[in-house]
Amino acid sequence: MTKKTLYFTIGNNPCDAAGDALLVAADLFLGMKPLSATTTAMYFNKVDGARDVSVLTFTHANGDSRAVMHAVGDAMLAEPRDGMIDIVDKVGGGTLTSTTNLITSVAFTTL
Amino acid sequence: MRRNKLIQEKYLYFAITGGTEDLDNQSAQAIQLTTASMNPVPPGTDAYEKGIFQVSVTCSSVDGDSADMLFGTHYGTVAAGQVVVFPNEAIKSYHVSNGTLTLSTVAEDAEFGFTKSSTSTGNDYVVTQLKPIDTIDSMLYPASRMTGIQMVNATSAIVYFESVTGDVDSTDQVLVTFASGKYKDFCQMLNDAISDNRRQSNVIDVADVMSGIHLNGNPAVVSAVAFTLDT
Repeated sequence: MTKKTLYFTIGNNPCDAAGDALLVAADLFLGMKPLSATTTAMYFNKVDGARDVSVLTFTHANGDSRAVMHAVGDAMLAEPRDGMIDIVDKVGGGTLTSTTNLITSVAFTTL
Repeated sequence: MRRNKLIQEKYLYFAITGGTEDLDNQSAQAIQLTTASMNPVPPGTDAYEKGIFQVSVTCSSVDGDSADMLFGTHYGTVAAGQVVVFPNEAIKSYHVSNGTLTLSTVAEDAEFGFTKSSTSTGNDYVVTQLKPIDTIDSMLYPASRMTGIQMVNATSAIVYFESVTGDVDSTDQVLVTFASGKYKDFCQMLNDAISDNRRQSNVIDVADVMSGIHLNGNPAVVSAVAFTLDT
């Protein structure tokens, strides 16, 4: 079995410090919602196993929340052979340009 | 006995009805949005260009007197009572944060301009939200987090999801309003979304009322969505 995982970077280059990137199991995903006209949040069960949430905040162009939610959702449906999906890779130039282009920055608000 | 294949994950999208605001009897060329329909008002000078909201006007008078509304050539011949939606090109300016939108006059733009009636009671506008900009405007949930659909009455039901706050003692609730007696049709509609493994390539718009997009042609005639989210 291949466990599907989601990869994010915040944009720091080089990407080599604590908090610069995150890999999270896709089955921890809880949901997404807009926070404002230019930000959308993504919620996961906490990656450290605590009974709480990890929150990623995406910044994007004005009014693009729906587009971001659909693009990220579509990306999560991918079935890569190794199971790892680059949702937003601002440093490594991930293959999913639809999400990487829509999302201008990523913040790991709560991990 | 034939066994069902493993149901794969799906992602379900819901959005509320876009806010609308009637701005009647406007006397100024500038239109002032309030927080009555969208709170906050759409921010950013590009909000109209980005399609976050639209403004329309009902033509009140074109009978040749001084109270007439004037429309640029883009609009063709506009009759009294006709509703005209302004394209982005008609917008002269939109304030970055306070909701003041000014339309170009016909004197300023002969093609896309619009000059209001000199009779203030003749200028009735409608502002309509088209895109989500607030925390209770839309939600995306994994289908695997849905826990059930509870009937409320003949025209509504609550879809329960595990809360995005991760609180195991609470849920997020999506209140869906549909045509009378359509509870089972709605349940079937959602079940189709979840169980059909052919729906693997895209997020599923179950009820995007704001965009007017519904699953399977909207057999339950869903007309409204509202969220009660755990905090």
